[in-house]
Amino acid sequence: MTISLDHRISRPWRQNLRRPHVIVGVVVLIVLFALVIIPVAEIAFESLRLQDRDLRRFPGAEAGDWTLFYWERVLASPLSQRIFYQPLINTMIVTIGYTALSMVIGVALAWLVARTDIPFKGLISACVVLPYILPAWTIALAWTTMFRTDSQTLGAAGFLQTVTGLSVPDWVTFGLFPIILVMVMNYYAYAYLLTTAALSSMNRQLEEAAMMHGASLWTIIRRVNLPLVLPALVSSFVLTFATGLGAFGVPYLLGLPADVQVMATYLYTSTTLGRYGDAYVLTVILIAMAGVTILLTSRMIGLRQSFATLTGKAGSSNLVPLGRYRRAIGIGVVTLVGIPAFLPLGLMALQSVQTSIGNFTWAGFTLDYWVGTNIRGFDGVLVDPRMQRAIWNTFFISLVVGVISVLAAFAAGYAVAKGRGTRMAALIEQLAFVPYLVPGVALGAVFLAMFSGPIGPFPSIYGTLTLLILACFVSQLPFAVRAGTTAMMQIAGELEEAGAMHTRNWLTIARRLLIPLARRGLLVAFVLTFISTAKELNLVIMLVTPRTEMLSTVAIGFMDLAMEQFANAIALVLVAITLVGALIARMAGGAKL
Amino acid sequence: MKHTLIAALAAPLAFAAPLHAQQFEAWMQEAQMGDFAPAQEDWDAVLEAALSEPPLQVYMTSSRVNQPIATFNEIYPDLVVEGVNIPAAEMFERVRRERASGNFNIGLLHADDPERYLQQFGDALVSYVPPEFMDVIPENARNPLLTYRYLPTGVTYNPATFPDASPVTNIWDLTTEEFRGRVLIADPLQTGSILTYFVTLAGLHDDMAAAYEARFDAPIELREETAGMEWARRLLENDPVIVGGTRDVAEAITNSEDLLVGFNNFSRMREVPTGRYNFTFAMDMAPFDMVNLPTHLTVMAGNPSPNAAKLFVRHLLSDEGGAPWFEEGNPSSRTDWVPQTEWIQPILQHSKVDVDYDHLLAATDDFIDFWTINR
Repeated sequence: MTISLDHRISRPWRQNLRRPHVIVGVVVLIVLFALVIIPVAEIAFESLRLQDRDLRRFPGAEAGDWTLFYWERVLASPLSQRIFYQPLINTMIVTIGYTALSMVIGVALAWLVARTDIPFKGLISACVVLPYILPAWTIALAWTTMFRTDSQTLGAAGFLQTVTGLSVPDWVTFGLFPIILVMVMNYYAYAYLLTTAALSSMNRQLEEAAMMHGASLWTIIRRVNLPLVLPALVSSFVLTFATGLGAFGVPYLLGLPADVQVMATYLYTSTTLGRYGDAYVLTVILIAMAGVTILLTSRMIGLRQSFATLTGKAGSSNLVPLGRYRRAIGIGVVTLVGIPAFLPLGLMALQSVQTSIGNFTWAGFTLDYWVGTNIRGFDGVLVDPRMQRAIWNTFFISLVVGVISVLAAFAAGYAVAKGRGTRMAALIEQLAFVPYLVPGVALGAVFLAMFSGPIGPFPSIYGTLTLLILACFVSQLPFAVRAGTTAMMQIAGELEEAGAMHTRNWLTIARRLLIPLARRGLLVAFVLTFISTAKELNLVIMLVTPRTEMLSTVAIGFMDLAMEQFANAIALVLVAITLVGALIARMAGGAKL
Repeated sequence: MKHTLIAALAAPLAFAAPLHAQQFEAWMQEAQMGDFAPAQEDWDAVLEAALSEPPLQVYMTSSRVNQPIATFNEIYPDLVVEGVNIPAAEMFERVRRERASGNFNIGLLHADDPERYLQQFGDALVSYVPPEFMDVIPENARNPLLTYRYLPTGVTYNPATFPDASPVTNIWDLTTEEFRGRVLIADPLQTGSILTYFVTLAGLHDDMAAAYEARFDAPIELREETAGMEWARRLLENDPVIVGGTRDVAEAITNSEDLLVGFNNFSRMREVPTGRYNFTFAMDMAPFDMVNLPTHLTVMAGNPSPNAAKLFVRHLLSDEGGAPWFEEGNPSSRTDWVPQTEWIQPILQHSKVDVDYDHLLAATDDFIDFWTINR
């Protein structure tokens, strides 16, 4: 009896260990443990330990003593209403509101571009991705430049009021409404990119079959397309939602003037004030909130049996015809997505060539900030050697992070997709998502501490690009794993089985079969991680040294100096670098993005 | 592997530890700083020693960090100084982490947040004053930290709207009905200098109480511990307009055609001659015009380039090395400094109060909580 019981337990375990997705999964889990669990555990621990700056409040205590002081401060003190409950409510309103809007707009656009004969597809795609490339503060800043009025004590009238004389109500300029809208503009690219990838790699025969049975357009969307792209929808939902929980830049610029705080803005405030105890507590709460969301969605996705939409059968590329409104719809969509894409960009370009911001005379134009020398001690963005190094660092780091992320996307996506429903798959998904919720400053601090000395046989990587690459890679894991999972879930299991009949070498199957099939999704992983790394600020500012400076860290100094021309020029260089990244992806994969 | 993971887990959990006393002593002796500083430096010998040191790393909250490096390299072309411009919060956290892990790369710190400075690194900071400057930098600018320059902060208004006189003659004016909704404050929780300004005022009693009596002809009735704290509370009850930063304050004042005042730093005035802003500081205000916020320059004990640090400190204190700040509205702490730029001249006439380090250390956190609850 005992023997057979042992037998029953041990055999599947050993067999499991030999299956490729389990091996890959174990490797992924080890990496996640080292790079995610340890940093987060440290943050959780520190939320329970007395920080040195609070020793004054506890005579006789020592730094590092166990305490519930910070949890009490955040959850149950006279401060709680201001630093936790109000921000919590605002965070939920913003996150739910903007996630819903982003999903609706992003998915609708994705369907139009991938599955209909709408014109200007390339332009629409470019317009959707452009606002995502821009650093978060640029669109928010453009929004205030556009809409603010002279009745607000902040002073000068905005563009709209200057030109038309119309003044919008205050809630349009600052508060929850513009936060939600601007965040939609910034991040609806997630839903769009992931859904487009899923829709274009879908087997078209399914749609045709439905059409032949006389199904209406609406029925096809609802009964055929929607279920097939569900994994992509879930991925975009999770990414968008978690971005909302952690978003700082937009609420900071558009919320604070109306006294609207979200959890991320207070978290940021507490780190700048050196109140790390409060910050750690809020971080743990944010991680828990996202954890619950991911748990719920992964349960939802785990219940569904099949998502394989990419099978061996070739599909023809018949697109849904939009009929005689084709052009009108196309122009409407281009206008809609073009404004948030080009208006901020245009404003930035304009402001990078003005001697003083807002001076529109001919004499007020200058190229000094691009190619000049010695403008209050600085050289133009394109000629300063320090800037050139920052440009190169930014490009190199983003590129390497992008490439490693693709490998991670493939490995993790494979382990999750093939092990769907198992505890390991769920664990990988959840762990990979955690870095997204750790504020950049906190994550950077932990990495600094972990890697500033030698670890075992490895020398210290402090002050090297390696440290920046490693940290950025970890912060980009959520994108990589999400995109990878989406891509791999679409590949039908029988394709791999067919491959296995020809060769026993799994690496060959991966190289010859799985990677080509998942190409689009993997390219999305590359582009997403490349872009986010290029514009990363809060994380890298903890880790850069004079020789490893990036563009974003150079830019902040210019805002402080009130030399926005430089900051704007740098933002434009960032956009250019990102376009180069997208171009590389296109050449490497032959895919249109 | 297991060992590595444990090491990785344990490293970040260590709290910022001071240098071991002996190490610290040995380093100070070697570097000839602190108690071991000589009465006269042999600068040729210092230069000689500096040439064999690794590049000096200078961390500043100011984006002008590369300008003095450029002038420094004109004098010492063979010395490499690496400048990093970084916000205060990140700077302090980095220093803390670096020290906790036993790394001592950062050579020189320059920041304007004395409270955080002393709170976190009190025992790791060395105030190095080159002997030739000893006589021109007063004692209170040398202890407990070397004050390099000041960031005077006070009440501003638009001189085009009030060409004859300041609309504010007493700081208690700001709590009256006339100024309801007409005082701009850059959120002290976002702007360190404004926080230090408020904490300093909140800690004052006698001067603030006297100013109250002068304004209202009646003794003050307190709900808070000091007259200064009572002032902060009444100001908050007077519906001030709280904005993101001092630049928003400058812009709003510039555009105001009606009564509007706000707190700002004197160095923000460097954009008045350029035409970008138009504001000026209230003069002859009771109890004083400005709080003289100090900005510090400290050598980090344990760093590998003490001799280069000495040379660079000397350069920064000089007129030439300090020009990027001194002539842009951040007065030098040197008593023999004479402003060359015209718009800076009035700074010598404003009455100022100095910060009290002990009070800043004791009261800043409580003020942050007070502000969070009552704003």
